[in-house]
Amino acid sequence: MGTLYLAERRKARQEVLLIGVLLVSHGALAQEMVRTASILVPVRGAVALGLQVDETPESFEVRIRDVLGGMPSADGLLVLADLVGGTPYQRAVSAGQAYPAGLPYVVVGPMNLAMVVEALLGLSQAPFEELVAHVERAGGAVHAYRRELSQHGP
Amino acid sequence: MAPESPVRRFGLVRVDERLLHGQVVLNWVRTLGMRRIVVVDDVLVGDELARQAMALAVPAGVDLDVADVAAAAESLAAGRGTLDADTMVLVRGAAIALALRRAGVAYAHLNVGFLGRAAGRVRVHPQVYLSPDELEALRSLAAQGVSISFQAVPSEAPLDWGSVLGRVARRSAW
Repeated sequence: MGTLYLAERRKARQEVLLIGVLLVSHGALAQEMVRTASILVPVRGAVALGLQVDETPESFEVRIRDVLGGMPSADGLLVLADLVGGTPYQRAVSAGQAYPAGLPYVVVGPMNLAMVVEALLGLSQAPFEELVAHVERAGGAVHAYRRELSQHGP
Repeated sequence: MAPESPVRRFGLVRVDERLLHGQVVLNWVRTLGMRRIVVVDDVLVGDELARQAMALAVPAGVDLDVADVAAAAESLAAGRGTLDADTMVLVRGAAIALALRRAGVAYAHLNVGFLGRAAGRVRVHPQVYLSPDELEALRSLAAQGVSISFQAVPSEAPLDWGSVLGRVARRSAW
């Protein structure tokens, strides 16, 4: 009974999963972000692309454009980039010209694990602009823990 | 190149197919304390979106100019109040580096930092692959007295032009 309910839920979720999430980075960071995020949340619907150390920017953009064609896209595409203004970010912006003009296409950076997790959790639940806002908030929520200073202890 | 062009010692004149990006900003613009970046590139002059995306990489307090060869040569000749030592010139290929010099910008040194792996190119450095045309452009610059070194980041030892020619000579493909 419970299993059937879960299966129904999963099916329903599949039907509404229409936003794509693409991670772009230098090196293997994007792949590792997805791999690490998978410990915490389901990662269906996310694609990761890493710029290799000797790869031309053109080659990277071609790979992004190839991926865009195969992503869920009825409601828009969210791209997370590791460094704002870096080559992966620049090429993700440029590749957006190949994305359907009537759909939202947003590149957000610099990405961190909190943003990736938030994006993956919100994929099937939030409307596109809401999802982007969630992700931006998650990324900006920096918190510093400062241990109290003490004369004693190790 | 006009024979009377004075020799210029810029902070860095760099060939990098990625132009302005993370590695250049973090390793060169910041460590060398650059105040002005001149990107010499016809493609970017005509692509506002790409220009805006690249501009996000520029640190606060650093001026960015994007210009074609003729406009860049004119602007660099004028100097615009920034010392040559605080100015970085970026081009995406060896041919543009050569064109810039022919337009009268007599830079003394050229850094080749990144030309990616692609068909028809031979590897001479972990991040530099050269096509026959690119090699010829560099040869021409070397013949004009430009000192050329191959170096991705400042922490790595530069590879000089002679060593690269040696590597090329050992390849039967050339």
